Amino acid sequence: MTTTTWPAVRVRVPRLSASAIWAGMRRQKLLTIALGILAVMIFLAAVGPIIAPHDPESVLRETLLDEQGQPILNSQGDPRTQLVNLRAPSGTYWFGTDEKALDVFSRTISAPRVDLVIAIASTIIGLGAGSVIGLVAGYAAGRGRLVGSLAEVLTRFMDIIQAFPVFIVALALVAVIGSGQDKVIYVLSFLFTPIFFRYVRAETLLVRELTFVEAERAVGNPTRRIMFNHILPNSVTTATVQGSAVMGYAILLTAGLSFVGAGVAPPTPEWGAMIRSGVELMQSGQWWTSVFPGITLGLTVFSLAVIGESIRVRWRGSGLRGY
Amino acid sequence: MVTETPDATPAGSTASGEILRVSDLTLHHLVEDRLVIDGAFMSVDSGEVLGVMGESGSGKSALLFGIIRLLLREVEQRSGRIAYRGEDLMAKSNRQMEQLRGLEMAMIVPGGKFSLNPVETAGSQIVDVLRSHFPDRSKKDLADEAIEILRIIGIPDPDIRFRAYPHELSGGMAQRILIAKAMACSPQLLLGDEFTVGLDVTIQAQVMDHFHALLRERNTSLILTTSDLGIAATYCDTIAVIRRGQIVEYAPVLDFFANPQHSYSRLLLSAAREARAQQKMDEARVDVERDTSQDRRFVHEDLPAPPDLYTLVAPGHLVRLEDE
Repeated sequence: MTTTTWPAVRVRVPRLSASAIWAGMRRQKLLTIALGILAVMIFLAAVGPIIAPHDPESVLRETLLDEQGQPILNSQGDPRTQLVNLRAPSGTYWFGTDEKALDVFSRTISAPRVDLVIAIASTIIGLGAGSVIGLVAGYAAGRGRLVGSLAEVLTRFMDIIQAFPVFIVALALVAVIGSGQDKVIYVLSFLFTPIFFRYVRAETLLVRELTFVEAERAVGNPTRRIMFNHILPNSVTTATVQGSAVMGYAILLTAGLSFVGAGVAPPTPEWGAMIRSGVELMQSGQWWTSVFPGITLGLTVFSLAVIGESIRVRWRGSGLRGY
Repeated sequence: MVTETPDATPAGSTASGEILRVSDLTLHHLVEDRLVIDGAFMSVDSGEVLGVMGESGSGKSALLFGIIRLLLREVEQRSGRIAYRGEDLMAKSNRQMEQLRGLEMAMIVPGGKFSLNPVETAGSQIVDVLRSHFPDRSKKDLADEAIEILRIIGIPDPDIRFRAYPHELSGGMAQRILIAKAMACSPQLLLGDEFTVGLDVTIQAQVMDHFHALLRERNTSLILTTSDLGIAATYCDTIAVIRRGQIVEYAPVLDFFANPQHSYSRLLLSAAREARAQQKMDEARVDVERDTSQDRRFVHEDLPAPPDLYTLVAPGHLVRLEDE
């Protein structure tokens, strides 16, 4: 058989150059800002406590001295102490100091290590657990009386978890297993699992009926490989797209739990707990203890929401719909 | 009535052993409450190509899925014996069947790129099949073998296609990948489900010619469902015509085209004529006639058909009694 040889045509794939990135950034200003904020927060989570100008967890000695350098007694009943501890934002204490004489700026930039780590860890654990359980439940649904019913029970159990108000369940669980960074991660992972479970289960129900799955079986792939190598990669996309939004939600929940005193306890720097500590002071004019962590928290959640929305828009209409 | 013919062994009949024997296979669709396959039988020798012909909805695909034991949830098997190399497939567990699929028998599905996992490269899908059956071998080793398989299947630039995703492949190329996946572990029996449908005629001929030569070379058997008379005439050794789940005629290919006995078979052939496929059919006939010198003939003397329903009109040529 003779074959004609055609001259090779090279398709030019646009390279990722600096100017291309710059053009993209100009086109998507909001996304660029959001990514910038998130990058800063991740950077702070890594080095925040190290670059902080003051120790975020121990009392500043100099605030405990009065103008003459004499120590001021930090007794509970002394009204002077709290007022002296609270210093307005200045060149030394950029965000001021709080009522315990802790530097607000140092604490604000140290908090991502707590808040962001909780958010990322709980989202990843939730995504992992939700995906695997969702895959199993979706694949087993309607297959055999026993297996099918087990999948159904699993699905209804997930529905039950989601039926309760998230914050109330989080509070109750923290009350049971105790507070602290690791406990909050467990609780949030548990609460996020059903979210990802639903997406993956729904997609699995769709993907498992596609022709290529039957084809994989007909050439001799065992069930386990079909589930994890062929169905899961096709059904996990929607859940992953939700990851960013869920992460923002996780930060809000963490801050909320700490705000009501159930999450991460002081003196560990955490935005929610910091906002809480300044609530009464707002009325007497010492606004800085709440406002600065509040703004940082807001910016972080905002950036995650923008990123999540942007990913969602990009994915809309793509994926497996054509198949 | 099966009448015994004295001149039982015609010249050209090969002595290669029987690889698959199916008898009285009946599949019932629970939702539609009808028999998708009604008392099907067949006997396939190693190296034989059996063409299952029939209109769409006649049960061609269901027959193949029944043999490889991948039934839809709504389909249950009422009766039947499927023996592969003398082993009863009905007695095998799901796990044993998983082992058997790919290694001993595999199915070539139609649909080109739509039958390939869209998020995995063509090569790694073949590696997946190999890994299912050879878990001890290294990934590198299996990847090399997968590229070799692609080369054997007749895919140009196998290294590049190995790394390609299904959407980067043309329809013909994707169909060849599907063939490569089925043939990865060198199974002895292939089940092809109208897998050249959707390819244009020249590509179809190219794919089928190469594939057919490969089957010859490896002495692999193929059960091919098709509604294309040209393909049936060119590549099949034996033809089974199926209508409403029943095999109405089962014959060596030359006997079938020269002397179709059942009214439905004749209808099928004349329908093709009306569809202006006459020329193609003549070509196919010429092909068959030209090939006969080197053709191996498979004549089954002991087809497991119920004698009260079928008449033997020639050696290995059974016709179902017409009830209307």
